[in-house]
Amino acid sequence: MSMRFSGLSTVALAIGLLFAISACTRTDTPTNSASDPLPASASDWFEDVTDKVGITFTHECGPTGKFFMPQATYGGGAMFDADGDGRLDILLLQGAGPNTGVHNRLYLQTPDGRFRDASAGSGLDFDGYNMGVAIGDVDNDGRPDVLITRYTGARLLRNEGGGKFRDITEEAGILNLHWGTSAAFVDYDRDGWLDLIIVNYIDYDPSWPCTSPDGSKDFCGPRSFPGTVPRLFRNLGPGDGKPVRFKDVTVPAGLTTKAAPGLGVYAADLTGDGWPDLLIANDGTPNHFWVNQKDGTFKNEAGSRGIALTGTGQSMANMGIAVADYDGDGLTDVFITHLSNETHTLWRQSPVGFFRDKTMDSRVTKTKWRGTGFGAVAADFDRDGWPDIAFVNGRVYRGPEPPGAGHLPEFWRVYAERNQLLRNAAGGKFDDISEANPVFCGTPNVARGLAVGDFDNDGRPDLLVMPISDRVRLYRNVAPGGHWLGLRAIDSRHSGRDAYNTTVRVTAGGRTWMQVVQPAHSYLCSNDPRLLFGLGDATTVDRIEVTWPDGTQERWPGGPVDRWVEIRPGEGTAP
Amino acid sequence: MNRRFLLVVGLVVVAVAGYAVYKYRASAARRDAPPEIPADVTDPPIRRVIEAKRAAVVANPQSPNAWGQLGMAFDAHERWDQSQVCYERAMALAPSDARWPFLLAEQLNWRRKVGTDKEEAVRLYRLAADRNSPTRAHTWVAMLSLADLLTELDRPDQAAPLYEQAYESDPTNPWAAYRMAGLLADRGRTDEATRVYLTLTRNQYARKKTAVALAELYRRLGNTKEADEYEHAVALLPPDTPWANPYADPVAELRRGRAMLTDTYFAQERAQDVNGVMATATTLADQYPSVETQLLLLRAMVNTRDYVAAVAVADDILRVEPNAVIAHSFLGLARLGLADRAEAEGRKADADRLLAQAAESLGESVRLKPDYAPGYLYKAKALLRLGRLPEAEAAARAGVAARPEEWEVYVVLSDVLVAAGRKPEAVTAAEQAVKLAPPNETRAKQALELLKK
Repeated sequence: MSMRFSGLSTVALAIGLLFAISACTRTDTPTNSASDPLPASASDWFEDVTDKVGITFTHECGPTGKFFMPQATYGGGAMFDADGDGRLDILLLQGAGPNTGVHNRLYLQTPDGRFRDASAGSGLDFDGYNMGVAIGDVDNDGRPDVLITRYTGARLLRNEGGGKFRDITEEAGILNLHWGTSAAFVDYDRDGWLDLIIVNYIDYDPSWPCTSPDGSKDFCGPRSFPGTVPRLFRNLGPGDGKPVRFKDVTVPAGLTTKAAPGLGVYAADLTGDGWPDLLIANDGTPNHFWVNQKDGTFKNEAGSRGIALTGTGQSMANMGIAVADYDGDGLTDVFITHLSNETHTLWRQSPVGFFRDKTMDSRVTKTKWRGTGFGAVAADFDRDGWPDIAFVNGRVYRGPEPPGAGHLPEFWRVYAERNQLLRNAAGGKFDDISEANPVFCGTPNVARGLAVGDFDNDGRPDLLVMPISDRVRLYRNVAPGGHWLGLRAIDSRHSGRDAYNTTVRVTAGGRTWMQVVQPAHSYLCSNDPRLLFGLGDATTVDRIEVTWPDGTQERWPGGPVDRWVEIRPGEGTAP
Repeated sequence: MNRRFLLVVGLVVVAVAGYAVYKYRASAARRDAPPEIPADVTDPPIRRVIEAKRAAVVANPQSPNAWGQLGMAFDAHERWDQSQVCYERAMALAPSDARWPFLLAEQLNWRRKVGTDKEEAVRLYRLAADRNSPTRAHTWVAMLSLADLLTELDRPDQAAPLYEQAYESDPTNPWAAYRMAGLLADRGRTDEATRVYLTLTRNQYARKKTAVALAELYRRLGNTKEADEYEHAVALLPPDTPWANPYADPVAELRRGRAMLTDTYFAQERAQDVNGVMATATTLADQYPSVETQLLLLRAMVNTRDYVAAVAVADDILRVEPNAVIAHSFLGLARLGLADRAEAEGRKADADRLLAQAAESLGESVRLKPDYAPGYLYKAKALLRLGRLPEAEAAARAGVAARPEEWEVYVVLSDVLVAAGRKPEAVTAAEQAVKLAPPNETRAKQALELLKK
């Protein structure tokens, strides 16, 4: 054989060998897990404006390694107008513990749309194991007051004006010895004074060591300890020389029949009788739906109204609550977040006061990845007339460290997951658009609180994310979309506070949208108390119909879209 | 030229053939190699059981049963990736065996993290239902699991025939009966649905979810009284036993290790199997010595009234963890128990000493955890027996403040107030206890009746 031939045969063998070698190298199809970072996209609904607006808050949970359970459940915040200047401000809670000097922070929004740190001397700047926040005007002076829940205890701060708050916990009679989580102000007896419900979690013993199945230390789960009961405080109004007085009516109100590990709360009328009810999301046990009996008492009817368990009869790890009329039938539906090895549940209300698990039908499980969801909010981000859902994720047990989690302290990286965004395609059927929204959904975090509010008053709901041991993030909504109407229901009979439990119906373009005023939803958070209606293609509002908390009804004429309006009792016409 | 060309072609063919043979053999080797045990499986009993099953596969890689057993061993310890590989291999080797597609379907349905797995689970449940099952019970479990998943996926038209078939075949099957009742209710055949539900109200597999269903059924009909009764029952009933599943039993039997023992401990505690709890707690503490297992042992000892041993274990724990609330609390309970014995044996001085020590231990538990109502409750009892009434009242009232919803703290407060000669207040406290106590709780009622006599 010639040299040329030998060369050719050698090449043939070599090619064969090369094929063999390359074929042996198996390339796994990349798994699209909750942890892989996403590329940037041009169709993001949000932009991160945290630095631009001057929010420099990083949450601190205290020293890690002892797996102190509250650390895995922090933290909340609030979007509310603290100083009455018409601009949303932000309150953020710290959880490093007492005597650490790591204080909550109050950011007041300035006319240029930035936020200035107004914490020092505000009265809200204290340390401790601060968990959640509820906002409500307890003394009807037109200034929203603040209730902060804590791992054991709660604090009530009265708004003195100008961004200053005074602790009136003891004098007002607020005593909650348990581990408080979410809370809500609600006038459950319709006497014009906002009452308070504090949801409590478990009877936690920090000295009890918990382990993973493999025996290594990890955070305890809720089943390691007994549940507790919520606390209902009735607002007695001023008296005895005190501007604010509350009375613990938990026992006579009947809220003690079953202790449970409560995490989320929604306090508004869900049975159509105008009297606020209390929906409590319980972690790993059936939810409670306390139906207002109109006589100062409540009865838990969660089982008989279809919202205690999922459609398959299971108790999930119920955490955050996002409410909206997802299917446009005029009734409030409920979405609650669960663990990553469960599926979040969407209950549709139909008929009034009864709920059915329509998770599968709504397609909220058809997501590219799953995470352990906490804070969840409903808002029409693209203003197409259908409320969407955003929720934040973060594990409660260790998992593999995901790419993109390097910005977190090493301890928390193995708990990090990416947030998610579901677009309501119409009629309460959702599409997962998380991949197309890397700004909100791209970076793994251990997120817990999520609040929604239109901080720049442009008619687009924005998002505030509160993760553990990480920067708080403010995401401005830049989604292209339809028209909108913003509305603030003001109770002028009570010094102009927000009129909680007011039901508003807006009709435009042949459709009617319904929302209820109640800023306490999601998880540990208080949201913008105003209402934002996405109107799709409608170019004028036909009418606005309101049912006030006392049951009276009024109507307003329509008008232009894309604006904010304020409504007050007595300024409308009878229906 | 032609010869050279042919030679080159021949060499290329040889190369390609050699590559193909190499690929095939590599693939077969991979196929026959059982998954490795993950490095983070460190619990020795778990490793042992998996290693044994793995060795069986290595010895006989063509045995579907060996692969299936290994799959179950991984499955029992939540190693889904590894068990999936094994089940798939078992399925390939024994296409007519229903076990492996069923167990794989269970994983995909309940434990995986990606939504599309549910569709694959539907396919696998169907396979399991159609294939050779060890028993009829296996067949029905596969069918009902499939039907439940179809219901969850909002395909009631596909699920309904399966439920009907299962129920017709065996109306005493609680799973089939529960689902049939649901179908009847959805179709508006309320009376029939109620009749079927009522057969399940005492069934351990379905009583709680049946109570939920009946509560809802009556609520929708506007029968408030019945709805409230069943709603109340829902709150009181323990969780239902999971549906009987003969496929899952062999998997459960392979479970080993600390997590299995801990789960067994709590299951035995719920079932009030005191001897079982003690044996399990002892095994846990011996095999996995830690503060946690010692605390479980302490609890078991107190519950089985082995007070002397409990005191020793509590002392051991507190030497290592002086702030362990439960240890202080159970030490107090053990001392209370020993005080009871001393009193019964006429040793008053010993009894008083032990009561004082109990009060001290329980006091430490509430010092460490100020909302710890059981600590206040038992501290008040100890102080009451010592005649230290002001302190007993303070402890009882602190218990009420910590847990105003707990009826037992009011009973103790009532007892203290009686001892202090304040009967009207004692009656008020006892009445509150009765209001808060569950309907079948007689102690509160008896205490009130005694007071009123």
